Amino acid sequence: MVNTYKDEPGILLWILGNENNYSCLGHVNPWSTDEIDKEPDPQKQRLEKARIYYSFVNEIAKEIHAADPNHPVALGNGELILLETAKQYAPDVDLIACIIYRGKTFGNLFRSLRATFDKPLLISEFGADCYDAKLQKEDQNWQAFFLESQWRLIYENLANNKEGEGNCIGATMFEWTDEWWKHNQVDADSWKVHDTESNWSNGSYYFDIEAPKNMNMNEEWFGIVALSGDEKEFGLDKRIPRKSYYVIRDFWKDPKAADKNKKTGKSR
Amino acid sequence: MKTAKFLFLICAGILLLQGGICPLFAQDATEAALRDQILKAKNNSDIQAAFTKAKDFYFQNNKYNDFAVFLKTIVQKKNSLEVFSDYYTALARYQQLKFLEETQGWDEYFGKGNDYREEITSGLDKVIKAAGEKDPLALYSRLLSWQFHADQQDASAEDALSDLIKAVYEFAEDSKDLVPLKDVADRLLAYQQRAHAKEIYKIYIGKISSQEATSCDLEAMIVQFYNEGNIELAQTVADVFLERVAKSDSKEKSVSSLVNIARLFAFKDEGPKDAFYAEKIFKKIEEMAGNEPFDEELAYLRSFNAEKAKEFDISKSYYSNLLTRFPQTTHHDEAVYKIGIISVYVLRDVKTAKENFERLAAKETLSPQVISSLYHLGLLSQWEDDSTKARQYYDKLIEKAKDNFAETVSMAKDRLEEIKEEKPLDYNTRLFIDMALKDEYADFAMSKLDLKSDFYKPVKEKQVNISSTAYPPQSGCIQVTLEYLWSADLGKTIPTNQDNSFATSYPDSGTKVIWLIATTPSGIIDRNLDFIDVK
Repeated sequence: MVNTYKDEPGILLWILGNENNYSCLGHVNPWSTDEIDKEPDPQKQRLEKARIYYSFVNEIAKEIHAADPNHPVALGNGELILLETAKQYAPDVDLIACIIYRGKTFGNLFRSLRATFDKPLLISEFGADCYDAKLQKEDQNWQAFFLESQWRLIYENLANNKEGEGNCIGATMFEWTDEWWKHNQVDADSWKVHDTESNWSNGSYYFDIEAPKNMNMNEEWFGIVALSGDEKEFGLDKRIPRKSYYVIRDFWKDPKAADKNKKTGKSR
Repeated sequence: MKTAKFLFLICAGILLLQGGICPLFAQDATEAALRDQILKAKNNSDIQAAFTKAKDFYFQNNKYNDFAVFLKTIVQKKNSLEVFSDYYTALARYQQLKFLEETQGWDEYFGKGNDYREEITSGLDKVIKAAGEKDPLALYSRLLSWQFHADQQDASAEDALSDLIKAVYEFAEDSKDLVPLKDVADRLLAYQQRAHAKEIYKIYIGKISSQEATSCDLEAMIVQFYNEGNIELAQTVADVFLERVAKSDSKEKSVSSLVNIARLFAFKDEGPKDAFYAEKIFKKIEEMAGNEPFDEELAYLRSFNAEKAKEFDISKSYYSNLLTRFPQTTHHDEAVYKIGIISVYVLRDVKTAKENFERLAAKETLSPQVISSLYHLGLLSQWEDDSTKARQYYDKLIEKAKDNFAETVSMAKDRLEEIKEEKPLDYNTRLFIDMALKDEYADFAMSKLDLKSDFYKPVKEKQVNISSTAYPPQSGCIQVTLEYLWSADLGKTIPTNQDNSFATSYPDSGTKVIWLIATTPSGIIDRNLDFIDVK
């Protein structure tokens, strides 16, 4: 894949993995080896799995550098979990691409990364949905509030910004438009339906955490533009900008002014 | 021709009046009347009433811009009304922003939003400066200012709240108008600012009680606010009542009132409740008069209330106290049985549990709890790998039950089948007992798994919904697959391992125990148990 696409102008960097580190903890996609199974201490089991995983990532990073010296290689990690082990076994990655869903704030993310694995940080996935799973209705205000707050913190911690840690090189937000196919990916009929059933739970998005089973994250409602089910535009479902679209647009027109407005009560 | 032209004009006139012009005239007429009413009002109370009427007229049709223009014309005619105009302009812009959010009118929201926000903040500042902190309008301006910043969750929200609370104290110093205080507290409560709401309710109630309220009035207010569903306000009045009771000479009457209040807040299936607050009142009663006020039913209620607050160890001691003071209580078997269950499955005390289960098992008069005690004696023996003893208990249960207590008999038969076929004890049941009694599970404190039912004293066959909430470890946007291991008295429904909740019903009366363990692929999250008393 690297050899095929390395000269494409659209290639910015290579990211290895998508939250695979969680499997080392055993909560999702559990795996093991005979040796690990013999180890009675669960903590040692996790560290051994992390050693195997990050060593493998490092091998691939080296291979990619050899094949494509012009693009950096990132480690795609869920949160900062197990990065102490990554520091030891994956020294050849150039930057850390973290997937972070912490609601209003990133907390001590930027500082913690400095202390654990001091590499440049790309927040490769973050965002907020706009469906209130508790009240069972769309709520554009909360999404706009979370996204503005998240972008503000990213801006504060960007490289060369002395207000923050200066170790963030940017972020890719999840996401531009809603994806109606996500809830039930094997049922083509459901792709035409904007499902409201939640797929996962996250207490940091506190406004609707009291939804049944605490399932408050609605995977089909993360877009900053919605899709019209009825109207077409350019042969596609018409895009309808949500509040967060305008908030982010205005924020990036002048991030410093947006920050001042927030402090004086002129924010959205 | 002239006649035809005349008729045409008449018809056109009628159509215009019906379709468009007439409503315009009507609106103009209403605006004029409202303006007239405001301008002619003689005192602040009349002015306020007239502005409120005008506000209601414009707000009901979402005509916020029209209202702002209307308010400007008022000031042009009578400059002394500027302070009212500023407040209502701010209120109109605040509602307008809400309306634009609701209707997703983003062009206006983002095009003019900051102008409206400027009108809100500068308008309210002007009102506060001009009116002074003793004026209700200034207090309502502080309230609106805080709401505005709180809605935006901006950096000024905290200061606005602190200013509002300070303003409340200043206003309350010598104002006789208490309505604004309650309005502020109600609004704070609606915004989940419970501590501040209670603080202001306390001032409000303090003012009322210092003015004219007797203890009887306070008691009536507690009931009134409770019935209105405002449990915070009811508790605030009850707190004032408690303070007054502490200074009162008439202990007997006070205790009697406290008993009524405790009953009001104590746990029950229907209506507002606060088991922790009820226990606070029970403690006060105990401090004042010892055990005496606790008749059989009140002593039971206190035990049951603590049980529902999941304060199992306290509940156990109250049930014991009930049995000591009222050995013949109608709740005897339920209390003994619950002491047994709590002892073994919560407090890891097998000895006390067995003593209590044996006490019931030895009874000649049968009850659901007698039969269930035999079941748990059998279960504990089976878990201890004493099949002979377990079989004896189960056989005795079946013999005693005859054709009754079908659910418990059925469970006992399942266990006997396991013993006969030398199969292990049902997995979910065994794991729950392991977690209750084995040291390796001692760290699971029933804190990461909630378990509850929508009814705790249902009648037979009534549907009850049993639900749980687990707090699993962090796993990013990949959802951890949870399993729910249900066991014990599940009624007519057998939930699967995927169900975190289920609806069931019980054909027999008695004390039912629900057991639940939540797990992930990497291990156990926690366990919990709950009681349901079927009547």
